[in-house]
Amino acid sequence: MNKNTPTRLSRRSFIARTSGAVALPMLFNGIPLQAFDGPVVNDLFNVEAETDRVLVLVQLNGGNDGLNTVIPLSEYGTYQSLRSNIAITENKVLKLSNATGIHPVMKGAHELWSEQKMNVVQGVTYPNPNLSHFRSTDIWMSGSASNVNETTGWIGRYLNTEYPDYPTGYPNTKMPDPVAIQMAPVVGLALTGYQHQSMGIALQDPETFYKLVSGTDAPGNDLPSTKLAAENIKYVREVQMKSLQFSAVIKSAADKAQNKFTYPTSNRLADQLKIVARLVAGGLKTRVYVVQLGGFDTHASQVGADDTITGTHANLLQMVSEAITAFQRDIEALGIADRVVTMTFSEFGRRVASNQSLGTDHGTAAPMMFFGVPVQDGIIGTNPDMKNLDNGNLKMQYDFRQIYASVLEQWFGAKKAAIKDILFGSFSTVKVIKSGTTSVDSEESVQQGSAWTFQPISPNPVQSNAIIRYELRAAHHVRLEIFDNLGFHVATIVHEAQESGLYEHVFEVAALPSGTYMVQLTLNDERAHQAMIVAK
Amino acid sequence: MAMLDPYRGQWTRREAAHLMRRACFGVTLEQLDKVVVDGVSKTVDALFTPVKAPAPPLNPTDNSKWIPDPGQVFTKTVVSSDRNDPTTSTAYDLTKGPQYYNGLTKIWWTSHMMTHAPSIQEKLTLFWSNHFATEMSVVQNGIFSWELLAFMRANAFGSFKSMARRVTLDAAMLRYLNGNVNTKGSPNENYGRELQELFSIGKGPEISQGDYTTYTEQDVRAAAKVLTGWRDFGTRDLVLTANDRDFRDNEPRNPPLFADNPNVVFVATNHDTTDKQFSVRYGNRVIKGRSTPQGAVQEIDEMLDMIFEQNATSEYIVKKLYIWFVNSDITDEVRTKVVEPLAKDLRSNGWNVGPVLKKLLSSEHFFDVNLRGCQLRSPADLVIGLGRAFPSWTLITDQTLVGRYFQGFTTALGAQQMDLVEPSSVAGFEAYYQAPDYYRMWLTTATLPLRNGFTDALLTNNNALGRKPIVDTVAFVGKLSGSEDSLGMIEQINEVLFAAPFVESTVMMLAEEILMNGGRYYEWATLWNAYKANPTNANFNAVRTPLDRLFRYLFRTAEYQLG
Repeated sequence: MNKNTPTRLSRRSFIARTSGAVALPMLFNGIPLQAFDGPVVNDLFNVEAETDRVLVLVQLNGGNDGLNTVIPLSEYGTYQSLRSNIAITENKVLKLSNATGIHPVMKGAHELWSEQKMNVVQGVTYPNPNLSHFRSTDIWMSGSASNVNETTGWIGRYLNTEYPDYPTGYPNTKMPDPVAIQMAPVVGLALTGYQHQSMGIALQDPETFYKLVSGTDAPGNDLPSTKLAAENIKYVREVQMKSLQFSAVIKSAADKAQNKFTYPTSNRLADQLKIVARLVAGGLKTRVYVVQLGGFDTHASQVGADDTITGTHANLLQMVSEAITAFQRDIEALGIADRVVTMTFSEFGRRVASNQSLGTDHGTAAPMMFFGVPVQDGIIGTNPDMKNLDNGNLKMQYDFRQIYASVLEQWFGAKKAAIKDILFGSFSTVKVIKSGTTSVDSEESVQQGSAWTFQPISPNPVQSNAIIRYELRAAHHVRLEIFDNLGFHVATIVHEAQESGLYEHVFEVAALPSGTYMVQLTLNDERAHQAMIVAK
Repeated sequence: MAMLDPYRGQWTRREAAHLMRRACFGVTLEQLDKVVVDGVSKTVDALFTPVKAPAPPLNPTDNSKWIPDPGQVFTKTVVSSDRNDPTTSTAYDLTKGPQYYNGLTKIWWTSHMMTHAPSIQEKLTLFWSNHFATEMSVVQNGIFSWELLAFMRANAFGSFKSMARRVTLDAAMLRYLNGNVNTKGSPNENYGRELQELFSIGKGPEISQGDYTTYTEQDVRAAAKVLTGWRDFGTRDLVLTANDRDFRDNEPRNPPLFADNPNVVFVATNHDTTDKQFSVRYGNRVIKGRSTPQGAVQEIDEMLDMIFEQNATSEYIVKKLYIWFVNSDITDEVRTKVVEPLAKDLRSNGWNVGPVLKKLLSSEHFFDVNLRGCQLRSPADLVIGLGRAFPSWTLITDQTLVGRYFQGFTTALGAQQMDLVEPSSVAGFEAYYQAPDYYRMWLTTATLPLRNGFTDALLTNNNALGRKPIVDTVAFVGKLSGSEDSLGMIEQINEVLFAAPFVESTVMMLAEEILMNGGRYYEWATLWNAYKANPTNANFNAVRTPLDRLFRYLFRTAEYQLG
């Protein structure tokens, strides 16, 4: 680590790096706090140290039939009359409330509901819905209005805000891992950043991935003189570099953790989530995972001819429910459930009235589902109004960008101004994440130096006494200080030469107002920082 | 000089290789040198000469037929294995399931793509199977999928409009896009939508809700009604039950209409006989409802006439052909000087794509140096291309290993995400429509390592070849001229196998750091000359090891991924 590096970063790029929720240690390493003026420091400290939070996006390809997923029991008569050949039998529906229930095969999801780990947002779509799979998928992925052909993705833009120069300079010591991973052979539009770079990598199976990636160093500045060929070569080399760079960390993360719950077999979604759980538990700092399940385009034979709670759609929902439940049980056993939220979406719902082939044609609004311990359980919105349709389709209750804004704000701690940029406009939010679920990953905060280790502060957030630990493997001149969110010095806990050994200090926060503080450890020429959140 | 003028520029192995890579995946060195001698015009003419496809695949267990002869259907479900009588042969063993037969089709197709004489036919067949996309795993009938593919091959450079008509009434397509359950009073819009959105006129910008410039939601509904009443023979399950036979007999097919397409039946009671009102996008056309099979076909023909009367339809297909064979970036200049003139040709020549493509592939624009390497190789370009450039299948002596050899290439295609007739959706493979990345969609951190693994494997000994490598580097280099000069040799390899030239420093780096493993480039001459003078095992291995190392590296370079 270099000492005294404030001049390394231009002011402008430094500020750019601070927008959004960025890990504090990443920003402060080696940069003397005094070198920056108030507003910059202020900006820094207002971000939340939440880089341990993981969002799992479950994409249901083909247009999931929302009305047979979340069944409007309070309007059962209308529901039954409009889709008599595929209506789910009333008394078989698993109730979320007296008014609303879910498909009988979704037993696992129902358990999660009773444990208050599930949220349903009703009637999500966008104005002027598009009925083409491809266009509507693009709209959802890009997070833009239906009349705009946006070629970047909503989550890609968010991640790009946090990792501004990506992929230049990545991976690095602070983000050694892929920023996002899609469990597929290709990365989708959702993860495309502002410069049309993909913010994620495609990954199928960590074992194969690792085995096959080995390589060749690309020669240096040797591009052909024609532009298109040169650009293509640069692109392939970037993919080559990414394959190489991440293969080792992914393999090691996958090896570090074993699944602690048995996943259902022959379940394409479970196969993907199983790997996600291992990677998260194995310590990857990856923020977003995208998994997919296809087959929801149920124009025909959506339900069995003899029994409407069987058939293609039932099989798919069962896969979804079993896969997500197993994943939830697994991350709970692995001790990471506090920092993982799962969200489902599909490009559209289906027509309210069924067709005569026991299926449904393309429609519009449909429910989204959230799962996880941090999820604010409940149902947002009302049962769809099936008497007041638009060309046979349900009307919008929530714009999908409202839900995106809610997730960015409540789960990733993005600021309103940043969200406005990311989603090309302001959208009111709904409560999908519980309040006060601030968590600071303990593993992440462990910092290593040449001959020292800075342990995570515990507890964090802290109410009364914070325990600050570090280990010296050689004698150091040590300074342990605390600064507030304006960069003002709050306390010096240690300022002396210390022999090697394990040190522990109890710091009393009773006199401090709630907020984020920075704990700075200076050891000879090296420096390390941790955020400490005081919450009373 | 107009962009579509016949190309008159430099004509060397490099230009010839560009044409053959784009038109037929690749060729051997001998074939390439013939192209250099023949010149552009003669070569392009030859590329459009129909190639007779080998006989369809047989049941590997007893060499019986499982694909009926053209125009025939299997009518017995009891296995009789009378392979001399195509009308009674029932060698399509239902208990094996469609995946088994689809697998045979894929391996057959891979081998044909790899072994056929230089022709554009197979690359065009692949184009059509991507354009009029179906997924074999959804169709679930090996015979239907085979017959659709065979039709596309036979008409590869024929009329786009005839193909659209036949595909509309194709058994595999009726299954794939639910035409088989599209009935009066309960229209299923799936095919009616994709016919317009993806197969013919193409979707324009949505200028108001449900109005996609070229057509509207109303047209989707109207088209679905026109298309009611058709279904495949033996729909829904694979077992040809007694009911299916009765059904077919009661509703006889009309041979003059569907001589080549025997698996489609019309059910009059399912056809919507009302008049179909199209939107202002089609001039508020009304297609009169009819009740006979001939009338229902007439409705479809009138609808196709209506769609094909729009200039957008010819421009849409020319754009797709342009993206397939030339470049994904359709600039204003390309649109006005290439796409629109070719679309006009297509409309005026009776929708035959052959002449249009000939003009494109012979043009100044196609050979524009600035467009070389603007594509990235698709899995087929890579896998089939290497199979064609290094035709080591000719060396297989044990016939039982032939299938396994081509199966390996088929598997590689699937692993690299180009499973034949299994696109990711009805829109076909993403690399041909997903802006702005297009061909780059093929290459990701998941698929690039697989490509590297595949090319590495070509250089190791292969059992089917009697423990010889598929890419025999020594033999290949031996056919170049002056191979003792390492720099010249590398330049020649580049010219033949790469879309973009290496700069001088790369050639030197390859010669010294890779080929000679840190030695000097001129030391190669000693090794090569020793081998030529006295091809002992030791002398052979002394050149094989460095050459294998060089090719392994070359196939792994980013440059090699350019197509």
